[in-house]
Amino acid sequence: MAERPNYYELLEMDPSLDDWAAIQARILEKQRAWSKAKTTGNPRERRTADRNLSLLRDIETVLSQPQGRRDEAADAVRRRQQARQAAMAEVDEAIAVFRSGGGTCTDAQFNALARRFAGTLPEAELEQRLRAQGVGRTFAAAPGDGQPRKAKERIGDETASAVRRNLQHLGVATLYHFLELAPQSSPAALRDRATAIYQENQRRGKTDDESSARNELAGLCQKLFADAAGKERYDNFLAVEAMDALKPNIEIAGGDGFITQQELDALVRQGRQRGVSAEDARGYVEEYAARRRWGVQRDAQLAAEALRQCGPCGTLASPGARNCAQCGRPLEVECPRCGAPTPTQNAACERCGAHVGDAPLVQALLREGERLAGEGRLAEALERFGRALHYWPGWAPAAAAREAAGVRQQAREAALWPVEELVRARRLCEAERELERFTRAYGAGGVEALALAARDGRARAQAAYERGQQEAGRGHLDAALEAYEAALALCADLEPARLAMAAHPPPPPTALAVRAVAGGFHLAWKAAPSTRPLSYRVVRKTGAAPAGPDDGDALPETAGLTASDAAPEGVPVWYAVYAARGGVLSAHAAQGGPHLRTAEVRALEAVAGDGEVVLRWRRPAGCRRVEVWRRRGAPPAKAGEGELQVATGQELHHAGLGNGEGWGYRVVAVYDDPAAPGRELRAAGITATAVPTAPPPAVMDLRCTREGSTVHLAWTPVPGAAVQVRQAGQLPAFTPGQVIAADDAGRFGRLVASGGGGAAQAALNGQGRTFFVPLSVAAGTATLGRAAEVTTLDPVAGLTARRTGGGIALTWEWPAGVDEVVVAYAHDRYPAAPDDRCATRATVSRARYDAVRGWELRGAERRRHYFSVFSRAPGVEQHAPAAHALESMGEEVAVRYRVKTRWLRKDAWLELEGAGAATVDLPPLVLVARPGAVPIDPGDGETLATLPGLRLEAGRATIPVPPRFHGTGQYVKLFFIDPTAAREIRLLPAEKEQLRLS
Amino acid sequence: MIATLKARLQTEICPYCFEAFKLRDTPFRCASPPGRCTPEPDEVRAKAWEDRVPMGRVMGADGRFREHTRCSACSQVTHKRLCPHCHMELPHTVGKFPHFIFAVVGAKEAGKSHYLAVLIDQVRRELGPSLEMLLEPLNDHTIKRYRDDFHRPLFQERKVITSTVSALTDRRVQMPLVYTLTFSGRDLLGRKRIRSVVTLVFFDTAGEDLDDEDTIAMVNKYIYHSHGIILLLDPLQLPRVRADLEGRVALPRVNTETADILTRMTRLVLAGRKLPANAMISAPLAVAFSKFDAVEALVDPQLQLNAAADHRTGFDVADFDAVNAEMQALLARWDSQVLVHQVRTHYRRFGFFGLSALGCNPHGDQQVPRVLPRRVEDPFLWLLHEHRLIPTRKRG
Repeated sequence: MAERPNYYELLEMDPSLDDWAAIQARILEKQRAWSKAKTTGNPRERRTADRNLSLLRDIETVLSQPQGRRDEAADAVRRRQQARQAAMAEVDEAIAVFRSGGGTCTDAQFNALARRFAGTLPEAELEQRLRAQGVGRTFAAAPGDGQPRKAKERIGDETASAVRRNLQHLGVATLYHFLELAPQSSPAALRDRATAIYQENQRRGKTDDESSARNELAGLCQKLFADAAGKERYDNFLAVEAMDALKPNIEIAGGDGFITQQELDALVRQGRQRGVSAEDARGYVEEYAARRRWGVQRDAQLAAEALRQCGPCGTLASPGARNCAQCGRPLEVECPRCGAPTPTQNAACERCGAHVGDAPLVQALLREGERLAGEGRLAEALERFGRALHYWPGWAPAAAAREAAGVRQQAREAALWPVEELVRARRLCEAERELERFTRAYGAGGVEALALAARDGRARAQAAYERGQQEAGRGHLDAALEAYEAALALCADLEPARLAMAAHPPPPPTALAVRAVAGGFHLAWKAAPSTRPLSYRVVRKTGAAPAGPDDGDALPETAGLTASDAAPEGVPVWYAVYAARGGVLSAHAAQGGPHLRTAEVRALEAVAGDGEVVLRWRRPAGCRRVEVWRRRGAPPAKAGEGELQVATGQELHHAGLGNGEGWGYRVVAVYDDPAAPGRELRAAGITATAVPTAPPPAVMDLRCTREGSTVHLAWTPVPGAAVQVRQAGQLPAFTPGQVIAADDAGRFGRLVASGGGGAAQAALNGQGRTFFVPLSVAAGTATLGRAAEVTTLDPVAGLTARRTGGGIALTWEWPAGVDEVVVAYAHDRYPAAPDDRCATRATVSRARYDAVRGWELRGAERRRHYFSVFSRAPGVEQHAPAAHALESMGEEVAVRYRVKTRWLRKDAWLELEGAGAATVDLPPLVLVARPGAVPIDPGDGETLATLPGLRLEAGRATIPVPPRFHGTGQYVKLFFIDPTAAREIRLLPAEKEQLRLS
Repeated sequence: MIATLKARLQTEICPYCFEAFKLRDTPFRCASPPGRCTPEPDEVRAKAWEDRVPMGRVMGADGRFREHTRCSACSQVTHKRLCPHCHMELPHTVGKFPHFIFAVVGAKEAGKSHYLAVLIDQVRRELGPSLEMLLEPLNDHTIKRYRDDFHRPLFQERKVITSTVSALTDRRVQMPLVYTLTFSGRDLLGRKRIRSVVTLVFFDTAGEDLDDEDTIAMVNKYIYHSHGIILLLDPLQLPRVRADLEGRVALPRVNTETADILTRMTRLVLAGRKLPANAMISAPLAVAFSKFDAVEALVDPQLQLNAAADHRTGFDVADFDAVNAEMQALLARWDSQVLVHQVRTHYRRFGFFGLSALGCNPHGDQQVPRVLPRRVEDPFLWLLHEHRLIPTRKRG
């Protein structure tokens, strides 16, 4: 942000002026001048005037107050003194040149010096200062020699002017000052900084003159620092500017027509102090001397050339110095890549070329990152380390700092998570303690909101507790309990509130009743007597009764008087119900148990065989034995009906049965009753039926035919059995002829709807392999047949062929899962298959296609090219149906048409004309008309005629226009009903006016 | 005698600064190497082009037409004829063959640079051989600029061309691409011959230089001197098209300048040519809608616009008639009838075109893996056809 100008200086007033009326008059005068400049000045004047006008209100505000005037005047005086000091420093530089040239000054040189410092230093004072430094006045002059050097490339005048104008507006000296980076910085660092400034401006969204100047400078920086050569051009420009400023001193040195070695040394030293290299400074002085035809004493080495320079501050140092006398920084830095000591005045390492000039920036980033890491702002710290490593890749200190910060951030996240959990659980006292420990370890950065939430919640809980204490003191127990509850709701671990609540535990509930229901137990109890609302905690324990609220598994706390529990099967369980108030449980509980949840056998299947039935199941946990109750026909309605057969294992063979005779079974799991030793509990049992029969023969000839996404299935029907076909992406292991229970067929995929008669149809979804398994099903038994397999594969989509000069480019969209296609083409028809012998073929991989976004046939003949593209299944020699495209290479049939009218007969028709006298058959057509413009698709207007087809005999044909359209002025157009016909035949309309029904 | 008359009567336009001059007023520059004749600063050139490099001595005109002149310092004959206004070396064809300035105009991000890059490539590689015309750069600047700014990024690095810099910030942009187009053929006896040579000047303008009428007038004088204008418009800037394609294709930022560019350009040409308000502009105007691949979804596949043009034996007028009518009808559908009306009102000769220079929407990474141009040559060939430089295609 540029500093605002001093208003006395801006208004060009003497700081001693303190009369508000006179100041007002001056403001008005300047306002007029600025307004005029704003409309009539050059761009620079306009911008300055615009800025000054925007300051008017502030100028008046500041200068209308006596104190404001005094401060402003004092500031103006201070600025003048600073300018005078700067001028004196320049005078001293000039004096140094005089002294190096023998301590004499000619009248002409003195006059030039006086002109240069006019306004800041009176002539008498100048002369006095010269005398004081031992410089006398004399005369001299003599021509010299010298060859001009080749000028180094610099930025263009227009760019230089833009840079200068904007820098001046912002009050900064160079683009490096604007970017706040050292001149030795790399172009990348400079560009990044310019981008950051530009983005910051964009974010702020301001459009004032200062922002415009900053934006323009940021843009210029992007352009000028695009590469090392661009930066060099700008540096050359700066060097010339700096040396131009030394011209008066050079004039002094060469005033006698000769520049001595001492004078040259002084000038080169001054050039170096201004950031110019010794070589350039010397070259400039020598070239200047050559133009002025002065002599120059040419000795090999100047003392100024051997001086070292501090990169960050630019101060010169003696050749043997190690640190800068001005800023104390070392004059050499270790190259981040090769470790070679490199002078800080260099932009790059002389050995490996690494950008050592970015050292101040990179070191600042490292320092800032370390500071941020220390404050616990690890994400920001990581960003700084990342930027440092961007400029100096692999720089060990930044890499180590980044790694350490990364590890620390991970640890920090891990440490913070339990604290967040405590806050979520409203255990705020503990959370505060943990947070304090966390802050000591990782800093307070980023956890301010969490700390505030914990502190605030605990304070409110404490207030509620104190309110409860007051109520308790007054003997209002209910109100006190209410306040304690509120406190615990805010902070669940507020110890005083918890203790106060614990002193008044609620009474227990009574009359717990436990009832077995489907899926577990239903519990009900009577409420505890209390005027305050209570909740209840149910505790379940297996093997014994719960000894306390924490002995067993707790069910979710409820405010109601019932609960449901899916207790484990086959294990005796006990229940205890406690009343809870404000987190304090009743001293006793309502208890019940033991209770046993019975379960049925699992995976029961009845497989009918030839004169036998095999029952299989899996026993549930805790089951003592299994009873099988059987009966002819239907299964028994309950245990105890029919014949009993006890099974200890998991299978039962019921043999010696007549085929075709149905049997029903009820399989019941039996348990020991835990509540009454010696008694048993029975599950209700599950049923199965089976008819002993010979298994049906398997289907071994299932055939599949694919049409798009539809598969047609066919097989030889099995007499006496229904055939199911099941469809699946993967099959379990099986062997054809294996017999399974019909109910188990679902394992082989979903059922395909069958129309009967040995045929069915299935739809395919997605790409890949699909299996079809036939099952012959009779009397609850299924025999597995031989499976068939289909691979689904979509064709490519959106296939287009486009002429590219001498070639044809094909583009398409790849179907999912396909990585290879076969492109085949012929000149007379679309190739029917990828191995069509009459077609030319090419295999195109997806990677190759993606590299150039298409496939190209180079050097195509001037003939029609019918392309078929076949997707290929991965790893299988199987192809999808073809996608087609046609490129006629200019050899398509063109049929031109226009409207013809016979005005007198009030007749109108469309005249079609093909190329040559050949007969052309056109497929179905539609003739469309619309007023004002030519129709652009078949639906864009009124349909005049629909033709089933049209033959052009000897290349000509006509289409009559219905009389009611004659003279309507509408425009007509002809379209194919099937748009793909346009690939082979082009309907070419005449110019617009020849399509009009006039 | 003929030379004197030519010098007195014929007015030429400098293809660099677009100022008019007479041949008799043209100075020459010494062509001797620096070792033989010392180069010296050329103030006129420095002022016009910021080119301060010392170069061959300038011999002023003496009011008579000359084919060549002798250097007053080294006495060597030189043929380097200069523009009297900017001291740029004029094409050797000046005064001998006609030259045509074709301007490519369009709003910001309409795709002018891509269009020019692909057009020049197409004409040189594809159309030239079949139409027996040879497009050659006339000077080193054109070779370098086309190679560096157009061809290299698009065809070698396969990425989009970055925005053209404003002529206000880079004077290099003010220097056009100058080509010769040589038409060859056979004479009545079947011998090979060169039928004619024309000089073509292409000018790629930064879109922002057309956003302001004052800037147009200052840096784009070539527009009103041009013999044909290709006005590139982005159909994705038409509100109706944007509404129809919303969510289907990636739409560029709205550029409000698109609608006004035709008005500004027309006013500039009327003013620049000092035409009265009721005059019609005779220079042919090709209104070309770029990025047409993006609006493919809105165009019926049977339209001629979707077919590939075939100009190998001459300009296909039948194809042009169909495309012109279809494009106007599409504009009517896209609520942009006013554009057609504007063109029809101010321009005597005009045509509407739809084209795509790249044939695809560059990916997010600004890469163009394959350039698949569509109808990119149509407006250019139409301009040549309007100037009777190429024949009409005969359909069998």
